[in-house]
Amino acid sequence: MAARPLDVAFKALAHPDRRRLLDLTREETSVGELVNATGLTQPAVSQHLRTLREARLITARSDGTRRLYRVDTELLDEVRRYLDGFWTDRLGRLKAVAETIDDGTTP
Amino acid sequence: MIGLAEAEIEIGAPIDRVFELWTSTEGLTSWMADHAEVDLRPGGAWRWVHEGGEACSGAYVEIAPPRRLVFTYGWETGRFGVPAGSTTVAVDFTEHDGGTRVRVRHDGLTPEAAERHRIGWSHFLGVLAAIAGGSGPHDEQEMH
Repeated sequence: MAARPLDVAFKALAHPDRRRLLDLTREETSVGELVNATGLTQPAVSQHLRTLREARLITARSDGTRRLYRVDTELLDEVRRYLDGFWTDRLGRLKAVAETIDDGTTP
Repeated sequence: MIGLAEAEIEIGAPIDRVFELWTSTEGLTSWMADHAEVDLRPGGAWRWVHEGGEACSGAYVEIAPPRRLVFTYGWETGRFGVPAGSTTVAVDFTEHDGGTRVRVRHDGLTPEAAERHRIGWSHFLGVLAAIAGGSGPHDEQEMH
């Protein structure tokens, strides 16, 4: 089954430690800082970061010997775009119906 | 507070008529859904079944004819894993140039839950938490 990006993302989000890691990576943050901030073990943090990266919720870059992680909002924007499109489409239909009915009943 | 989605349109029809299209089963089935159930009172349930059978439902929060309508909202079929009633839609109607301006704002949390979240990123993270919470607590166990 080919998982859709949004499904993968929401699955990744269905874990409180991973949501906490996202919250902590609003600014670029190293694994060591995340270990200190969360009290999780380094292997646990690394595993969660991998899941978040595979879900496109976080990005990583190298800075010398360190890896720095930061939240990636692109996918979140995708959710927003979907909903914007839904409501815009519905309001277009509403306009068409409202103006048609109005034309038919107003002298 | 950050809106999950926003949309606005100007309609050449009177405000009472446009409000009625949002709040009656006959009105809703003419533009929103194939089938609609409406219990128009605060706390009353609503349900829309779209083309293809996907259903959305929630409950009315605020009804102020013909200017404002607020209801909780979610997808029963699990789109985005957003459970029914887990998000909030506010619709504002204003008279404009002899017609009506309609503004929809779709926020990611119920009003009660939103109060617990700070403005900005924290709020949006709360949105995601609510969404994720609807798709089952842990990875492989529950599938929609």
